[in-house]
Amino acid sequence: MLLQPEGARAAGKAKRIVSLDYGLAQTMIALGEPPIAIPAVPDWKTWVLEPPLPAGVANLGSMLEINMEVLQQLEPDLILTTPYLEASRHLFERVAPVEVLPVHATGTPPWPHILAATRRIGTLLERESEAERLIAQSEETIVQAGARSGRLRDMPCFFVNFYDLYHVRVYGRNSLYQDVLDRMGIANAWQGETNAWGFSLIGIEDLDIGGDAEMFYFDPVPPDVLAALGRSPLWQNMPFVRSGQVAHFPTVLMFGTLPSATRIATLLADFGSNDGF
Amino acid sequence: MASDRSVKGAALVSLSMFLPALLGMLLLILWQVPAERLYAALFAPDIAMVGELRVHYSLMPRLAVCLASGTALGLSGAVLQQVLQNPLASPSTLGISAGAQLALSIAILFFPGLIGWSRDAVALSGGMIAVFLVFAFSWRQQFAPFTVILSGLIIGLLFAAVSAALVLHNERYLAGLFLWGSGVLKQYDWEAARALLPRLAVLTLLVVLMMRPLILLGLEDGASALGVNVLVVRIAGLTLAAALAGVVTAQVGVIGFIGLAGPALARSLGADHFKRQLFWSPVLGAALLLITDVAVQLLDAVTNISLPTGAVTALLGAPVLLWLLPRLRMINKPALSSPTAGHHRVRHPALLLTLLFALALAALWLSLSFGRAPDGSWQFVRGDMFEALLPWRLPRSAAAFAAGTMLAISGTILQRFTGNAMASPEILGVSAGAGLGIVAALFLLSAPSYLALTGAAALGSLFVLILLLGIILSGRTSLNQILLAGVALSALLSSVFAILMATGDPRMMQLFTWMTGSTHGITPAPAISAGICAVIVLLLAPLFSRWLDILPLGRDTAQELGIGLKLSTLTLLGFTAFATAAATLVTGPLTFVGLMAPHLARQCGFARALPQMVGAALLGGTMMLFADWLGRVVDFPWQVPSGLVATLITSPLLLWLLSRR
Repeated sequence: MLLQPEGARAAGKAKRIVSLDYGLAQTMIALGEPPIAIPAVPDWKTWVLEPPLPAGVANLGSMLEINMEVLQQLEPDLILTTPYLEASRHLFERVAPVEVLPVHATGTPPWPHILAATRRIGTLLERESEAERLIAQSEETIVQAGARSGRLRDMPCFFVNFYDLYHVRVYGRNSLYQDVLDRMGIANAWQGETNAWGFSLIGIEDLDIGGDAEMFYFDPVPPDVLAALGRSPLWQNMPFVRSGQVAHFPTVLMFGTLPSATRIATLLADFGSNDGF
Repeated sequence: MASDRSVKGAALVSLSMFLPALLGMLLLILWQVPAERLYAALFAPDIAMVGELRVHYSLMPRLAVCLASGTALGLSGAVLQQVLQNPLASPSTLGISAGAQLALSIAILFFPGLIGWSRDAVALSGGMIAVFLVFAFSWRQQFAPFTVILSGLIIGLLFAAVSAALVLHNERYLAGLFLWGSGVLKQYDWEAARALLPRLAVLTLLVVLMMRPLILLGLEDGASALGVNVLVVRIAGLTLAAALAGVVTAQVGVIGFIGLAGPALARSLGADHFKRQLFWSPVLGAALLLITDVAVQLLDAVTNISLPTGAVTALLGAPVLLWLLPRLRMINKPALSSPTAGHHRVRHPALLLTLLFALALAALWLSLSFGRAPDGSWQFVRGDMFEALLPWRLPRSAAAFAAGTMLAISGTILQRFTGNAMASPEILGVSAGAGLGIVAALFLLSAPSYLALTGAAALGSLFVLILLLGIILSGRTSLNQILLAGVALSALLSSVFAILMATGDPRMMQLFTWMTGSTHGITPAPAISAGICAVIVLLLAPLFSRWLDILPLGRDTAQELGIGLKLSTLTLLGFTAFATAAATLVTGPLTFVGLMAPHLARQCGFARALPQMVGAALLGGTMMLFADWLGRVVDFPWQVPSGLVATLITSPLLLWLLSRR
């Protein structure tokens, strides 16, 4: 139970909650109670985009080195975080109670963890019914998106992140993409091994997808990668490049929660039915 | 004849590397295409067959790039070693790779168009800027070998620190640079090979044209008498070697130690004449790189673990360095002016020390009360807010001060003891040991706590400490050799680090923050232990002051005065290692405070050992304190790690000092 400083905060009044993870912050925003602070506020546009971050959310600085002075001065009631920051947990506990919610990097598919985290956040915000509704709506949106995803229904696709000139991160089992694709009934063309985070770092020449597939790459793309690939015969002759099935996927937080999942599904459905985003 | 033997030996060793490498290469090719399509795959691949395309556009260009890079680096190393007359010289000691990497980081962040236009040009100009700086700072010393290498190392570290600061602010965005930085030889067309081969040909021709003057340069006293303008030859030689390494760096990134190992192997096989070195260093360099790269590719094919070749060769670098040590005849006299010479002496050291103490206190008060509010505005905090923030600010400030103090005392001891004004506690490799301990903890434990990380770091330091004592007890007590063994350990750490970074594991960011010297995670407990260690060090330091006053006078004098050399070496080194380990746990391996504080103390006029130690301790502590405060406010709410800030502040000072000598 959370301690209530005597008289300071009346019961029922909105809690001051900080989220140290973008994904958990997404869920809080979706439930209508955005966090008072998150790390790296300016990067939200680069990595998350949707849902938009409300104005006035304080910046806690680096993702890995939360600015403790700022955190202290904000006097939060609760700090939400993931096991990613386990090494700094003892610091956060000196400011406010800490709730650790594992979502990604568990070595298992993130979906059940996302649902559990959503319900837990619902409880913490005293918005249990909203959380259940968010889950039900998200699941429905994804299934419906699957139904209207047009040509993608018969076309496997895969997601990559250009890492540098020679390497990509390709997403598979244990990633949010895989879970969304499964629920939409679309096949992931990448069936290779992945790490606990759900991606595999491989050389571009190993992007050997047997048969037809659609490749989606997302931001950020290192500046000279596309130009250099354009010159490479090896790249030009990859089946998905030869058939022109390479598309730039709009920004989605790959380590996100339900808002990311529905966004991926909706974008895929739009792409499959309109042949573009 | 010795020369016949040398030719046979070097040829045998080269073949024993080339043959298995080419066999492995054949295996890799047959993995992709059936034997009857081998010829077609090599020369005219069927564009519908992915396997044949891979052979033609990935494996073959990789082989070419690999051979060209190894040749260029071996040649570069041979020329550098001849010019500097130092068997430890190698392309990386000029800071070329760090300069290239920094230029790329800056271009990606601020001028992406430049990268799109020519990545090579950006990397190359960064490398050349580093070389130019090294030249500028060693100008007054007429490019004396020691000054050149030292300037190169410092510039390399400074550039790496700036790159690190950029990465920390842009966390995930620059991740690819790590991979690039660690020397990945992957190819998917002939671009890099086509760029490398003609450049290599032209540069090789130039080296051959310069052979005669370079040989004369090796004849020490003879050089000037023979009518060679030593300065011109040195500049030309360094430029050529830098260009050879720069071309490789621009195409494939940093490939560690091939430039050192190639020439070293050639020399050990009897290639004592420069002409032979010039031939065998590139051959052996290419052979070494090829066999490493084929091993890396086979590992990738079998286990799907993809390692950056450049980082793996760097891994081989540490053993090579250690193996070279006994061969090295380092001059055991002060390479630069002795640490006590040429400075005014302060008349009342006690008064000046009191002043420095007051300065430290003022800095402490300022760091605790002056900072920034959540909205970014500047504020002096008092009362309740001061008390609320104190638990966050005091441990950091105190730990930083304690660490600076210990580094400064270690530095003073090392500099006085070795008579080498550039000795530094970081060079002992104790901090590298701490880093390896942290790496182990991060990968063996699933989510290690701060305490676990600290314990692992301490174990790592202890391991190196025992290793160092072992080396000393084995009988080889030359201090320069011990310092170089420390450098070899640091090199081992950085290659392990580069390999792990290249795995793209998000956990690595955590290690990265420690490497940069972050005080973010400092709670009262580690701050108190750092403080206790600092007090112990400060209390014990005066016991060594007599030794340290006498040792700079020379080994013979010291022995006449009855100081057992082995005992004093052992005690001083153990003490220094302890102080360095305790400090490194706080600041990471990346500061020059241990190098700079003793110098500043001498500039203040503290000539004798005890006042110099105390003065350096106060100055070192204040420097770290200031670095920590600056790191908290300058990029608010991001926090620049104090070790990094310290490096950024101290290294330009150091370079200036170096060039003035």
